[in-house]
Amino acid sequence: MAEAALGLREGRWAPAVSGQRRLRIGRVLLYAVLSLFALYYLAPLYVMVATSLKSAEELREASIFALPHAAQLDTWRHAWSEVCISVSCGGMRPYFVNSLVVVVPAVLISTLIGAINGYALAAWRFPGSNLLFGLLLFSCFIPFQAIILPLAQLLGAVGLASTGTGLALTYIVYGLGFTTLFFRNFYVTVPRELVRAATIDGAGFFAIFWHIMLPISLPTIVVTLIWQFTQIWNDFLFAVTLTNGAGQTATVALGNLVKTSQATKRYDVEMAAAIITGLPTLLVFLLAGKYFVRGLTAGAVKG
Amino acid sequence: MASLELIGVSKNYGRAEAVRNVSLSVGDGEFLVLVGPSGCGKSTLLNLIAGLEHTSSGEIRIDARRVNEVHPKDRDIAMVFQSYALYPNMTVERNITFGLRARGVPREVREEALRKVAAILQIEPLLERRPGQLSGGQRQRVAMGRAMVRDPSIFLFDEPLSNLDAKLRLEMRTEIKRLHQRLGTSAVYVTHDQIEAMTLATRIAVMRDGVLQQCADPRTVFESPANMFVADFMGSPPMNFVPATLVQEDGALGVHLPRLGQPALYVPLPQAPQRYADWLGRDVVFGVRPEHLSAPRPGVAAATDRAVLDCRIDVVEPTGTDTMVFFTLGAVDMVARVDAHTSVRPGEVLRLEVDAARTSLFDPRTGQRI
Repeated sequence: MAEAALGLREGRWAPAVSGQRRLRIGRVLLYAVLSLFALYYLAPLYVMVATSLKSAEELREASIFALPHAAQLDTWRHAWSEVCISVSCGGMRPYFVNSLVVVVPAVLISTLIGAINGYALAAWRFPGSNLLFGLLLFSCFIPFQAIILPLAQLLGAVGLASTGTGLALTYIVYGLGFTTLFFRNFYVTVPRELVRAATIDGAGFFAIFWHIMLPISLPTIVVTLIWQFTQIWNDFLFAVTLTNGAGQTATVALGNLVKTSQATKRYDVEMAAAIITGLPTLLVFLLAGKYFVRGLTAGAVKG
Repeated sequence: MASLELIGVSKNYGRAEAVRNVSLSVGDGEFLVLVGPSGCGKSTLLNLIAGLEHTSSGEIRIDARRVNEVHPKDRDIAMVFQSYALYPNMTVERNITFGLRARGVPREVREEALRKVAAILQIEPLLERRPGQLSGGQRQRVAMGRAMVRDPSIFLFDEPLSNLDAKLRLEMRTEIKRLHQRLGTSAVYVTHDQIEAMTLATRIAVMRDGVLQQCADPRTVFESPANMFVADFMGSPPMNFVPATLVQEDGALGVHLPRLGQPALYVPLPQAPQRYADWLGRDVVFGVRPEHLSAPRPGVAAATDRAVLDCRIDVVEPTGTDTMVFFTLGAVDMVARVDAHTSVRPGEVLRLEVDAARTSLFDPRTGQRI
């Protein structure tokens, strides 16, 4: 748009050539800088993938940026189901499953509760609702390190120490600040008249939520799901503190894998394990990323 | 169909009083329009009637039943909102029948009701569409359909036409009037547009700062406004107000309108009511609508009982149907609505007749009608 406008103006004024050239140089510079940053960002990812596909010999002799000769998918299989982590040699798979079992319910439940919270706070502004929202928001800013010991004690007291349930519960509770924020900020843009119309039509609190509010917040749902999934899947601190042994999650297992002493350092296996651990969040973003951008800007555009 | 009664209804938000002690009633089949400038409490009053907000004091009765504590869905009302408030995720059909579904009405009954309403509003081809795919006028119809489908005893309208463009607004206004004539359901309609109020209402309630100013049929509100606020708010252009003195000449009551550098102009009030006598010799505000200042037709002698004003015209605004002429009387800017064929140019003197029987006198201190 801006270029078209500029072009138009330059067409009207005769000495347009130098202006156009300046514009082109600007563009080239811009893209050069952008490409450089993209390269800088993508290089580690490339090294990871390339390393995971290389043989031990290649790793020793070639530069870390060199392309692998032949793809060694064997390494991935090894990392997935055979590599020794701490004392057991079952690969990343059991820990990956642990992660899924904790993450999926935690994401779904925290998103659902966040939606209900956000709806209640935005559409039914009851006395004290702003204070409650403020307090919920406060939870977004509590550093996890500060509460981790009392949290562990609390979970121990209620008999959930070192269990997936305890970990999932922790994720749900600590996710509520953000999930509520996302939904509340979307729902305040929904005209109040919508809820009033539905109230007069005879729909109650939950009927309005299920039949009207939840369906129209699809982009927000997707944003929240992605956000929660990424946060919880990538969490290390809670997972390493609140679980142990066979109950650990993928991120913790990955750390243990790197720490486990072996005869030779298998960088290729470690990289493969790291990619396996990071893959779900990448996939989620690739599949639903366009909603992510749309959802994040939804409130801003509508005003 | 039902009647609605408000008895001393007030609504406070903290210390702010949105509605103050409003009492009025809407008879069976009446069309009451609540009108006033923004922030006058008319929408709050409507929400109180709907049950979307709770009254601070007073009583609301529908068909003689107290409904203060009754949930909106059980008040047997339906409401049309300014933003239409259609459910964006549902088709038109679902939008219209949502209320029936929520109440567990059986399918056959729902379909029958939907068919009837869709036929009346001529929206059959739109039933499968979503609100996002409809034009403003179509959305308006769907919103009306959603209100009509439950066959409520009272319709509540909250500025339903203000989001439409001027042409469509006129069309829908007539449409609403036609629907009301056909269905005969009682209605309460909120607007800030005094022309909408005049055209639709069987009764108009004018509000200001939460206080009911006047509640009467449109003609009374227009010709006998209860106070200067109502006189000013209703009518476009609004009523002219001239400071005057009530006098008696030759045994008949009249007013003296002061003029700059000239003797006061005497306007006789031949049908002056008895109560004017108390104000003899005192200052009053003389109110005359632009419509009641007319230019005599050429060749027709001025009626003898009418006062005439010879005015030097400043500005002439032809509207097509008639022409507004602006002039000054004493220190007051005045406007008159004269026949479109009156030939007058700025700077010329035009003789205007005052229709004295339709003028008003106000107490200059309180603004109340005398």
